[in-house]
Amino acid sequence: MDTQSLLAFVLLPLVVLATAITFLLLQRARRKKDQGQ
Amino acid sequence: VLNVALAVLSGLIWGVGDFAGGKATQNAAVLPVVWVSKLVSLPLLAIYVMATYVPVTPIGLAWGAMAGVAGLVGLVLFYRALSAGAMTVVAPVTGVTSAAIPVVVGLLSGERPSGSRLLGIGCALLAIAMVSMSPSPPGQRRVVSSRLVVEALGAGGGFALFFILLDIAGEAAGGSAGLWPIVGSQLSALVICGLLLLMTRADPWPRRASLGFTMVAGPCDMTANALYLVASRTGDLSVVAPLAALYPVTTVILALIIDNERPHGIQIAGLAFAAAALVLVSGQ
Repeated sequence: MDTQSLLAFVLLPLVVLATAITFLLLQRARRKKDQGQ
Repeated sequence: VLNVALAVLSGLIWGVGDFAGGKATQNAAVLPVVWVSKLVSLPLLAIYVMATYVPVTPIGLAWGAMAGVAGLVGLVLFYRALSAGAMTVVAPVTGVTSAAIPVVVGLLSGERPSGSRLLGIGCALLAIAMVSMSPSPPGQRRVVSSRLVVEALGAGGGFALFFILLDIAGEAAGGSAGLWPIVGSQLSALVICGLLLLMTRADPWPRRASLGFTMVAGPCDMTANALYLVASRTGDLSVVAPLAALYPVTTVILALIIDNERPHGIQIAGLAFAAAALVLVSGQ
């Protein structure tokens, strides 16, 4: 596997994973805030 | 080791996508969620294809399209079985079937993993069953009809076929199919979902509350598919498929972190089996 493909298969999935987890954590924070009000 | 790492990452991201997809379908019908999730993942798929560009391989596209159909059939059967209740039975039956069939197919086609890897595969199958289990709520009687078991097995068969067909697609065209099989699988699922939506005259857009989760689920699912394809191309199907099928592990961990759900004893034991599977399979 060349460097460009390796980057695509390591960096891009990690970006997707980080974005998804950030979204889920933000949803959790929003839900907690709503419950607190 | 690279294929093991890619398969594990694939399972991890599948779990996140599964969790987000589950959240989305709490407030919306399954078909619109699946359709929109496939639609929104197309730009990211284009980036993947450009980053790893190889000329189009029609054979890879065709095998991928068949994998997409199998995956979609598995998904619809899975949600149908889940909606009938008895998740404690449906989830483990589907999970183990989807992982066990590729193992059998891999072994029958001549793959010979080492003793420790075989033990790891066994641990992974146990882990999938245990992590997917959760006791029924008190006072609620489990109704397990033979139709339900058939649907759960059918869903597992669909997912297994998805794993196997993508493995074949990866090896098609002399291993130079690139990511075209994923393009085939995404497009076939998108088209069939669209046709089903047209036939049922259902609203193709999920409710606004589900849209965010849907937009997370699609790219995660597609990324996991791409990682699995690359992992299965370089590694044994009997090893890669059960590792990728460990995605319920992520779902349980996310339910613990995001929803503050307490895991049951059997699920914690399942997480230990998953850890053992990873250690055993990572060795030679």
